[in-house]
Amino acid sequence: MTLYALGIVAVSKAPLRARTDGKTESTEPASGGIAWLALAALCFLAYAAAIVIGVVVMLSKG
Amino acid sequence: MTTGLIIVVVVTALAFDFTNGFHDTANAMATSIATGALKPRIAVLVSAVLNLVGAFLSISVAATIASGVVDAKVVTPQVVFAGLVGAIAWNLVTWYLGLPSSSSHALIGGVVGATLVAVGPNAVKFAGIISKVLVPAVISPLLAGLVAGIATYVAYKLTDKQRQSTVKTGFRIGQIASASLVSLAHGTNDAQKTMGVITLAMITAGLLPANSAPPVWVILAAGLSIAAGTYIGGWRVIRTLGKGLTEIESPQGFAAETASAVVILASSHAGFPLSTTHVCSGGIIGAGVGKRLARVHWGVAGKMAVAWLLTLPAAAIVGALVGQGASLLGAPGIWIMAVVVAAFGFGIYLLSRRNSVSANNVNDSVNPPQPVAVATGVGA
Repeated sequence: MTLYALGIVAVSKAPLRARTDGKTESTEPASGGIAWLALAALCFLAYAAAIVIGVVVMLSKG
Repeated sequence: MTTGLIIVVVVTALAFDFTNGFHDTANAMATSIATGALKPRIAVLVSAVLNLVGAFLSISVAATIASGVVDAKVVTPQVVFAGLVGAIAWNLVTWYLGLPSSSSHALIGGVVGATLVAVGPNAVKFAGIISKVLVPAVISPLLAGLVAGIATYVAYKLTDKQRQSTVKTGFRIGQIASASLVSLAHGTNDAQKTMGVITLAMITAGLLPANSAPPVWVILAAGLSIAAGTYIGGWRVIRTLGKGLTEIESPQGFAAETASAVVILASSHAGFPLSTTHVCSGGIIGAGVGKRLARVHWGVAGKMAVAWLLTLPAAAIVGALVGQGASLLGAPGIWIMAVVVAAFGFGIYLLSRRNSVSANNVNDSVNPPQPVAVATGVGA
């Protein structure tokens, strides 16, 4: 759970590309945000791995 | 044993499976629906599919009905039928009241009541009831609540100062994953009970050899019944869990569902029996407590606790009455009782139509807003 929350934190830290259409917030990351996004991906992957392990453990008991 | 009796037991078992499905949809999907992570119809569809998948993933009937709670040698199809009717009746009543309660405990209660009437107290393992039913019923919601409370606190602490649009979206996606996991776990555990009941009845009737695995049609029928029940959506219970206990935000929903999944998986690994309903309800309350300044409606939680306390004795009383009634009425007794329970179910359905809860109003508030005190002082 903490890993997933950290993944969200990492995504939030990724700087967004400035928009030129006058709107306040973009959804596209700027180039400097790649490292943050990579870190986020690692966190999410670790969380997904934990889920898969949990399912396997559950099924191994069934 | 007649084929007719087997048909009645099979149909009643599938009916129980159906009520189990719609009663327990809320466990997995209530928070996802409440936070808007999933639209109500999509949520129940996802849950239904995963329950069906779960039914096929695990087909062990080792954990047969009421094992360790009553003497397995005295469990006849008549006892199973009466137990199923007790469980169905309790599921319908609590569904009408919008109260989450354990279908497994209802089934155990029904079988215990029917066994008491059919054989006597010597066939009931009271120590098993304490260790397999009562102790987990107390510990599991507390444990899930504690884990969810800590997870909620950590989630808010970590993401409090981050971009809120990203946080909200991120936790909503996480909710879908964790709720799906709970649905899958539910399918593997609960559909199996019905398979066990039907297989046991067929073995007793000599239609299957001893220690048989459930036939494919039994797996399919049990899986489809629980999936159909799940898809129908127990909107009343979903509303209570999603809106009645606390106002849930996406980090809380994620924490509640993930904590529930962790507790269910860990207990499954340890062989510790527990109710998905108790775990998920405890998780939601914990998520409410874990957020600073969040309000938990303890009155609703209290009603749920009372329902949990009453599950075993109430289902036992119905199971005992049905078992006794079927016995007194002779050969057609089970048929008559089947008609009675069908009529009861239809009556509850008609009652529910008077204040219908559906996918359209499931996110309406359960607790009416408190009247605001208006100052009427002189000179105001």
